[in-house]
Amino acid sequence: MTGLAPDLLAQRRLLGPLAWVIAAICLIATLASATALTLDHGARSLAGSLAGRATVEVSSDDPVERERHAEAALRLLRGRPEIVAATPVSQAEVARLAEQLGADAEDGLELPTLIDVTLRPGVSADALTAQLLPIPGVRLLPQAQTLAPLAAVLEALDHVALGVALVAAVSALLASGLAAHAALAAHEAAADILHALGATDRQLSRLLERRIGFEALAGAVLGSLMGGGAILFIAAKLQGLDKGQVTGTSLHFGDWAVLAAIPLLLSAAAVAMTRVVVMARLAKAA
Amino acid sequence: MAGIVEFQKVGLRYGRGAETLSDLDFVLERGSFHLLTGPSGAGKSSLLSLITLARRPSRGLIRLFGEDVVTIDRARLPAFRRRIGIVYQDFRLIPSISVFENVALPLRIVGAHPNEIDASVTELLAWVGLDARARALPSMLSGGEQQRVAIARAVVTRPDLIVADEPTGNVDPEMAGRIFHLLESLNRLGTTVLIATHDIHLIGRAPQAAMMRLNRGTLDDPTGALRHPPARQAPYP
Ligand SMILES: Nc1ncnc2c1ncn2[C@@H]1O[C@H](COP(=O)(O)OP(=O)(O)OP(=O)(O)O)[C@@H](O)[C@H]1O
Ligand SMILES: [Mg+2]
Repeated sequence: MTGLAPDLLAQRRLLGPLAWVIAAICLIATLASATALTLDHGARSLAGSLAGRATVEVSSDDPVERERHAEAALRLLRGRPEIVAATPVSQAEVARLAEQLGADAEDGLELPTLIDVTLRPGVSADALTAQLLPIPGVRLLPQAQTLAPLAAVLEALDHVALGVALVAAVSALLASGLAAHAALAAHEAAADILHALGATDRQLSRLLERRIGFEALAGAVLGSLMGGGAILFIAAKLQGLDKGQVTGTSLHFGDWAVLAAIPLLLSAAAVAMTRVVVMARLAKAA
Repeated sequence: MAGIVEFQKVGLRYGRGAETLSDLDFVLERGSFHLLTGPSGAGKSSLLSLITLARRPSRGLIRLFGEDVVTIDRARLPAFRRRIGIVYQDFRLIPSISVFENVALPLRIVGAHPNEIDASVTELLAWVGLDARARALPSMLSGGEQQRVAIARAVVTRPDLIVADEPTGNVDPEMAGRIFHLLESLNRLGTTVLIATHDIHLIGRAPQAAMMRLNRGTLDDPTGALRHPPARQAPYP
């Protein structure tokens, strides 16, 4: 069936206020979703890289003794079947880490020797504790535990970002509902005429759905582009930060697809909401 | 039954006041031609709004085309409305679309073929003398021209029933004659016509039309045509 021409409903501006409201909402939803996705990757890569890893710390006031103990620990670790790899961390790297943690190399404090251990999947780092017990000055630092608070923070932030995206989606629905109400009221005279000429509620509703869907889509695409621009800007800034830190802070191709789907979903939601509101309102009329 | 419109004890009340229309009882036979008269405020437009399904009565029974339309489901109303052509006292053209599109609207609503729409609308606009104004917006037309657009829109689908509220109120006597002649011709082709009017000339032109007189919300039946409708009349001279 051919649709009725959209210009049946007079319009003063190409885009009404709904477009701008949806643009703002879509910007927020895009940024929140990008944040949620990024944090999710961060948390995953953190968990993934930590789960099968541990660090063995060998400390002693006497550097020669420390080296001997480290050699022993290394030999022991490399002999175990549940260990995939055991690599000593260079002293330079240890010094850098110590500096990051606030220790001053000039303090004269003896730095420990660190050994990075990669475990077979499913093997707990705790199992190593007993093995290493006979060697003095050796301590196991399970990374998953030391970084657990960070993981929890990432997860909480992830949930907050998702929550913001959801609130944005609900706001889009409410704004569309209000716009549908307003549009129906503004075009009451035309709607009455169309009804009198035998138009069905669905025909009328479709006119308004098209109007509001177009406005919502225009606004959503605008908001989405602004959001994408902001993400690219932040990503460029993050590039410098990413080196040597937890990896996985960038968006994947699939994530961009999710972000691109947001304006389409918001517009579809606006159309669906318009239909619900208009059909309900018309059903109440005589 | 050949009654196209049937009212039984129909009353209409706006809000909480007294009834605007009371105890309306009449039948409009298929193919009949009726003139509805009565002083201003008597309720002529209100009566027409009941027939055109713009509102439901407060009480009583209304049948259109043999079916009860008072208790009818809302979803079925459009099918009935599509069989009725309406000329409003205040025209009610859609201001944002052209004269052509206004006349085409009832055809677009029923999903007519674009070729059919083109042909019918062009022919009717020529008939009411507005073919040159097809692309104009209604606001660029005089009152009388707008009224002719409203009439073209009402008849473009060749409805079974035409309800016209003061269709000649804003046109000169010559155009009034033409409009009246158009409605008569459609009536001769079988369309039932009901015209509400104050126009003495119009009334004088149709001695054979059945008269209905509304007075303070009730119907007089001066000619007895309502209760005992005459057989289908012979074509007018
Ligand atoms: N929508 C409405 N709400 C309340 N009262 C109304 C409404 N429409 C009409 N009335 C009242 O009903 C009465 C009849 O009005 P109506 O328009 O039917 O008269 P009419 O015979 O068509 O008059 P006219 O010849 O001036 O067109 C009037 O008193 C009017 O005030
Ligand atoms: Mg009136």
